[in-house]
Amino acid sequence: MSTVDEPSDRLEFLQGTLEVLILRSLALGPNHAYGISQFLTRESDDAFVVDNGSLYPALQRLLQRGWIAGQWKTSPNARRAKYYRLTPKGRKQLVVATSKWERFVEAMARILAPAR
Amino acid sequence: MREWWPRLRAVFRRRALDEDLRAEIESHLQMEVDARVERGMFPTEAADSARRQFGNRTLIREASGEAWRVQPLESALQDVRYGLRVLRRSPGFTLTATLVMALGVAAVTSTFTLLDHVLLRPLPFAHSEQLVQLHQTDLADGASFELISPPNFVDWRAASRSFASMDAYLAASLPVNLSGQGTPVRLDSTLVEPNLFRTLGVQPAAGRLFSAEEAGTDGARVVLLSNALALTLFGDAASAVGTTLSLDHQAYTVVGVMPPGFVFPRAETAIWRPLRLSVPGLMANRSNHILLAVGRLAAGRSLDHARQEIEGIGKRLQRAYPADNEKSGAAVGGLRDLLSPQARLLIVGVFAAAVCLMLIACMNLANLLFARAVVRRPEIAVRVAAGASQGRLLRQLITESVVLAAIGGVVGGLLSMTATPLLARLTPNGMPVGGTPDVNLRVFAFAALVTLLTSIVSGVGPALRSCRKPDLTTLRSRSGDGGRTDRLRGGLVLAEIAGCVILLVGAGLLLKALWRVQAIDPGFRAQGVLTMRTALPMPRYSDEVTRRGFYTRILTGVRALPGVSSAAYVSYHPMERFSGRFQVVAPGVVDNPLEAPGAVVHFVTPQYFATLGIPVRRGRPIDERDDGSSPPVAVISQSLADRLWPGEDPIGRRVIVFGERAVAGVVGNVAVRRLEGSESSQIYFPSDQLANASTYYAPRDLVIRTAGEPLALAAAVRRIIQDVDPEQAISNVQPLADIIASEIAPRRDQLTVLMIFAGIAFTLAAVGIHGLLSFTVSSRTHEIGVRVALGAMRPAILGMFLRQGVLLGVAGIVVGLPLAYLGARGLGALLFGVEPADPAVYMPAAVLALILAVTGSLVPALRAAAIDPAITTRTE
Repeated sequence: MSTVDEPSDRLEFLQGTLEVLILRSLALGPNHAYGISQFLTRESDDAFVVDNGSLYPALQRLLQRGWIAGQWKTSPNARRAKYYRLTPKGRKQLVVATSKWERFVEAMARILAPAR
Repeated sequence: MREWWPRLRAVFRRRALDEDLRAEIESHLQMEVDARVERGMFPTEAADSARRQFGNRTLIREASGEAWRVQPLESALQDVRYGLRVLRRSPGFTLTATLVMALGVAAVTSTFTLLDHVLLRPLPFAHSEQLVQLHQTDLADGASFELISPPNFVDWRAASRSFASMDAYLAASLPVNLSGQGTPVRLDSTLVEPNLFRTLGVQPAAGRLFSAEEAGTDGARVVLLSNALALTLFGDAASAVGTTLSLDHQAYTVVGVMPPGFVFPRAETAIWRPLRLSVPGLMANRSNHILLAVGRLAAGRSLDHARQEIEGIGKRLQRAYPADNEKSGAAVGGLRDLLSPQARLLIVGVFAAAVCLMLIACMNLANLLFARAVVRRPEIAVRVAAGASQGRLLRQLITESVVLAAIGGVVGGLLSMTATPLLARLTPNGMPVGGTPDVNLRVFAFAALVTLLTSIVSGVGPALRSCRKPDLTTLRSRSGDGGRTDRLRGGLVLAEIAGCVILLVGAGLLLKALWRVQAIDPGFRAQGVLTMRTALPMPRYSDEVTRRGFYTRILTGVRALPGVSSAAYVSYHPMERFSGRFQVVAPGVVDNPLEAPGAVVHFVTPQYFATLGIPVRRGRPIDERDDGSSPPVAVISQSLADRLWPGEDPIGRRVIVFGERAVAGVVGNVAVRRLEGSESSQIYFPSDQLANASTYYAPRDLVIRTAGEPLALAAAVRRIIQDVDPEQAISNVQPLADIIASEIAPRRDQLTVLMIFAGIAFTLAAVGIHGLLSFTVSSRTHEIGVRVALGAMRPAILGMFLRQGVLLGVAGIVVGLPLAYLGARGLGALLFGVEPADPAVYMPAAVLALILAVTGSLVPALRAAAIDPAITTRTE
């Protein structure tokens, strides 16, 4: 049942990708760590493993750079949770990072395609 | 590194951040559990599963916290905390080290305060680097410092081009009586050219400076007041302006008040009056050396330019006026040149002694740290084994010594604040530095620098040593550190003893010089003599008859007091620097005034010689028969008689000073201007025969010989003077013995400081030896135990360690003595003829150092001899 037992099924995050994906998830609205983790797993059709050991440091790094801000709120099911939201700086960063990743993916694909 | 600010903030909010993270993770976990329960799991099962899948929460927290960490700062704080903990664990060591450091820092800081105040700090004038002091030189006496005569000064100013301005002032103090403001007081005043303060670049605190017209022959009677005087008289500077003061019974208008802390040319100067060089009398005499001058260099001119020019002008004036200027040159220098070489040396010497002390303290600290480094080897080995990098360990150890030095530095700084007032007494007077030295920012910066240097100098060596190849064997065995550390520490102790020897020799030489100065026979008996000054205001007392009445009434009253055996008036009591000196021409013997010997002139009333105990060698003293109508007479000192009429009877011979006079008597030589240094002859005239001389020489000092305590007379004498003239100011009431004592006060103060330093150095060196040997003994306990078990005699063991201490002592003495000699030669001017190599000083210093070595090693040696083999061999 545990997904961690079968790592081959899932993809590890490349350096820097997790941060962009967190920003992307928050572009839809404020969310807490659990929610972000759920979102990433769901939206990638379970392709990504969201390891809490990576998620939390990534959140701290984003906080530090001022791209996101955190605030304690009560969730719809009455749990206290820390909600993160994008700051204006973070929104700008998301645009920059998205275009960068699109070019990266495109380039990767172009190089890898002939070998297939 | 980016985003420094949030990180830095985070350093100090670490706990809050961590708490927040913990709560966030808890809530996250709870949501996972909720989701599992919703999917149909039992709550306990859900909690287990969620926790398992979540991962190691502590690690996650740490990894997240890591993002905020500022590495160097964090670990430095950690080092400091650890260092403090280590120091707290060994209070004995910490206390000793702090004390050692504090003493060193206090000594250097307080002496630096003085040095900074007197020699380094820019003088408190605008662009003080452009200001220069102008003075004449006496070419007959190795171009020594001489005052300027008014005609020469006027010629200098007219001929020179290197100066934007140049203004003269009266070098001597010109005391005035201030009356009409309560009790009459005597105040120190001087005359300055109207533009002088503009040349100095000072602004008045209130009112204005002198105007150019106020230097004219019939200029207004105006004065500037010092801030302190204005405050005393009027409460504040502004209300002093425009008031009228009665000075020597003449009305003067206060035109301005100088700023607080303004000192020129002396600390006591409270009143400035305009100097009128245009007064005919002043310009008549080119040999009348009374002025000094300050110049401000013109833009683009250097001191060298000015020096060349002024020296050239001096040479031209020498040729133009050979009668007056034959032996006079012109010179220019920095404003601090007024400071005598002795005074300069005194301050530099005390500072050097403090640096010596500081080095000793440093070595002691290094020594203590070395001992600890060895003791802590096992601890360090454990830390290396646990994975600490060498660099990290080194940083840790140096941090510890910095922490230690910082504590010592703070304590030392506080100590120096209390010591500075004591040292302030070494501040020389007679140059324009204001007030007392204060501990300012420069001094604090200096103390901090000294502390930092000390900690690094004394900490790096030991730290390097303890970090070098820490191997696992140290974990197992505690004893048997190599001989290299011992040798190094021995070297440090040796240097301490050498430093101690240097200070002991310095103190010894100065002590001997002081004894010599104290042993000087001044030529009079100061014990039992009371002196006081009644400076007579001049227009009021310029008439000889009025003066005579004043003296007679006071002296008659004083002589009638119980216990008084004699009393007299004199122009200046002994030890007065500005008593006048004149050439004594003796017709038929020395007719040319240029070749005539100089003598210090005194006008005295009858009983002067009896009161001061100056022996009359031939003829008679000045007595009642010498009045204004009797034939003019003079009494000369033995030295003048020997110079003019060697081997002959001078009685009845003629001398010419203020007219022709017959020699009536010869008296013993007296130290009139100073206790030390060569002295000129003296010549005495009756007070009633002032005729041709300036009223400047009218007697003003009352001297009274009494059988009792001199100061006990003061009140009665004051009453007598007030009865005679209620407006007459009385000042300088003091026993003559005190005046003599104050002559040697700077020497005494300096010696006190040096003796304290030597005492501290002595203690430090003894602690150093003691520490070294104690450490050796404890690290060799096992070996000694074995020796004793094998039959070594206890005296032999005692001897072994004593020998080690004594050898160190001897080596230190051998190194220290030549260095002490080098230092002593630098003291030259202060030694007053004591040979810098005087064996009577070096021997005791060496013996003291040896005693120190023995005392320091005695306790550890005794402990070594008392080692019980049964106990020491069992511990292994």
